[in-house]
Amino acid sequence: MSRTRFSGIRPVKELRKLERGFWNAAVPSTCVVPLQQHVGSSIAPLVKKGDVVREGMIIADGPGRFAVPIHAPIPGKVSFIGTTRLFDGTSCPAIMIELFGEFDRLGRETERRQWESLDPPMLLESIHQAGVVAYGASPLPLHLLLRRNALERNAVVVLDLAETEPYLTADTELTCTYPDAVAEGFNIIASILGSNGKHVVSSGGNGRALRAVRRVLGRSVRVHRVAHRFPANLESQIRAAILGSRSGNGQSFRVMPIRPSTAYAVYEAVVLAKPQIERVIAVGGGAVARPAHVRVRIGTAVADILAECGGLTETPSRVIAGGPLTGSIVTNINAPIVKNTTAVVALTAKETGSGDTVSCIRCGACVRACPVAINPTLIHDLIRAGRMEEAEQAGLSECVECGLCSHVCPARIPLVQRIRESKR
Amino acid sequence: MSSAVHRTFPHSFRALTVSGIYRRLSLAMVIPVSVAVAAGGITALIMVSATVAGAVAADHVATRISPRQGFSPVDFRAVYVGLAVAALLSVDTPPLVGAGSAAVAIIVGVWLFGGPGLYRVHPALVGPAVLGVSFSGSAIIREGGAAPAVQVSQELIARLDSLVLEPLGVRIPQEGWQLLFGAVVPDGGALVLGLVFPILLGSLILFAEDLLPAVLPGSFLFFYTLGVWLLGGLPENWGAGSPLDAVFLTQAPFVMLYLTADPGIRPATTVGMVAFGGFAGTLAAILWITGSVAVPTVVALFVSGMLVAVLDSLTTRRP
Repeated sequence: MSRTRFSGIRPVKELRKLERGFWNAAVPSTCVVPLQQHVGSSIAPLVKKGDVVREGMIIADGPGRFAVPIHAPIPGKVSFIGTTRLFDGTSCPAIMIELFGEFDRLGRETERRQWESLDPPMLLESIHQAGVVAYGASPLPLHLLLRRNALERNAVVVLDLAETEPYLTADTELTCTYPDAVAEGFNIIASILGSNGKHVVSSGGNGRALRAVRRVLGRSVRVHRVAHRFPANLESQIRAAILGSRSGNGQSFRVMPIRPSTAYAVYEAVVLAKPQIERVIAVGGGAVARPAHVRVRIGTAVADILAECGGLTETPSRVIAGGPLTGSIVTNINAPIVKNTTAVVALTAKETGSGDTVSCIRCGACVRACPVAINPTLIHDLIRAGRMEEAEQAGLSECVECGLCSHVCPARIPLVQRIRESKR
Repeated sequence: MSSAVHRTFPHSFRALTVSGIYRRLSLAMVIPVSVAVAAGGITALIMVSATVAGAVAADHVATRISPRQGFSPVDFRAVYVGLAVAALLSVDTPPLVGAGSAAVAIIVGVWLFGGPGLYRVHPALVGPAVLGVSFSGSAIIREGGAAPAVQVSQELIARLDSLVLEPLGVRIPQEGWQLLFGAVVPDGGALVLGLVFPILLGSLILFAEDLLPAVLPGSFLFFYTLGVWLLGGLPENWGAGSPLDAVFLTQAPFVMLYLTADPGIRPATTVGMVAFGGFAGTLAAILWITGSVAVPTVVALFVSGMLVAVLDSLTTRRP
């Protein structure tokens, strides 16, 4: 087992810890399913108002390999086809389904498929048809990612257990509850990629999930421990962790990090022939009555998810979809969750800790925190002075937009925000 | 900041703000200063009050003139500088001189450099330095002394020796007790000189609140004591080369902990801080051994402050 240390910060502790494990949230009486849940070509509805749909049935798809089908998360009747407002207030085509009829999967035993005899194209097609998107910063269709890496034949598949952002603990709970399924999904991906080396990267604070996975995968994987700091699972960091071991030395390869939730979705798609219609998310923050993890149907409203966890005990300062450092602010509490949503966090004013911007005191906190070793203050100053060429030379394009510089800045200077604006 | 900027991540921020940093620094510094005031009596209290008032008044005036930043009574920056200046002055410093030192520290040390965050030499060192040059005939700050800060009965020490330490085979010489309880000189020495335990107690706030990366005082202390040890001879030859004397009988603990805790005067990177501490510590050791200046650690920090920009340019990425 190798151990690697990175820059960054010690992750801020959650104000209130989330309960371990997870439960199935109540099935919502209405699901609003956005049709644009992935990066790629747009898709169109295959149903019309008044149609009766079954659980897991394809309700929208598009031409071309960049399209990912969308499935009905609940059985029912299509009551509306139009647009809905997402978390950030933007509009998106959507299909509204009202609960009606019986479930095809919920509460029923599912027959297990033997995937070992299937060739990679068939496995990829199963993943495509299940509408699986890769969890991460950008929700790319997983089958495309895998196909690209499979063609190059030099990918190293890595199970990423190094998520250290506060509240993003759903993957840990999923791994601890279903280690066999996560491991099998991981093996399926490795099989598609024809990967010679299988690796697990885990942060120091994620020992539970690592132990669970190791019990299943045994010695078939190489385990790399990284320091419990945020961020710990940037691609460059995972690559460095693997290069630090003997297996990576001197080899040119592409790293393919796989989150446990992605591996689990692949398992469901290939082994259980189940489309991606639900996911486990973390519901936390100081304003939530019962911080916990719940498995919810895609298209469930944020308000319903918060209600599932006892509602709010106080008016939150911000509601976030995702982690408090890299998530998106929720401006519409009735917006539906999408496949890429990892958490819903209702932060109190104490947790948010925002304040007025004052002059920089040159404390260097941003420099010490930056995981890619650039000087955010200097770049910020150069951007403000309009000296973009110098800002580029100082590493503007190398910024990974993790938000740490703004997070640690005592002067509350919007460093990452301005860097991001200038990059676009 | 536009509302669009507010809507993007991060959504949570580290608890410390600029005023929060200086509020905590002031709180930490109040601990040794309070002990010194208790030892120095009403004279010390008047001197400290005048010095802090001078700093706050000067900051108020400067912020009214400068468009760069507004004055806020809850902004503890001036209080911190005022307390630091008071801690470096002796008890018998006239209150007006104290207030003047603090005002010079703020006006010259902070605002002449361009304002908060733009200075590289600790402002608290600038005020006394300017006054020291102006009144070169009389040393404003002196180091070294022998009067114990905490008066402990000799009988109590003897009883402690006979009942607790001797059965354990431990014997602490008289000089050891003197060092343990600190050696402060109310007549001429700096206010917090020798108050090692109150200084360490206050520094718990600095470390617990993550105000001071431990690598900086650690590097300073290591190079300072190593330098004194190497330059002054082996530890058997206690005297000028005694690292313990160099730490306990100077303002080294205060300088290393409370002055380097000001974020503006230290390098940004960890490597820079190690180099900064190493340079300052070595220089302080040379000054202590040669006896060329009365306040070696203060002068060493003053000189090292000029290196911060160089260290930053060497250790951070620049175009």
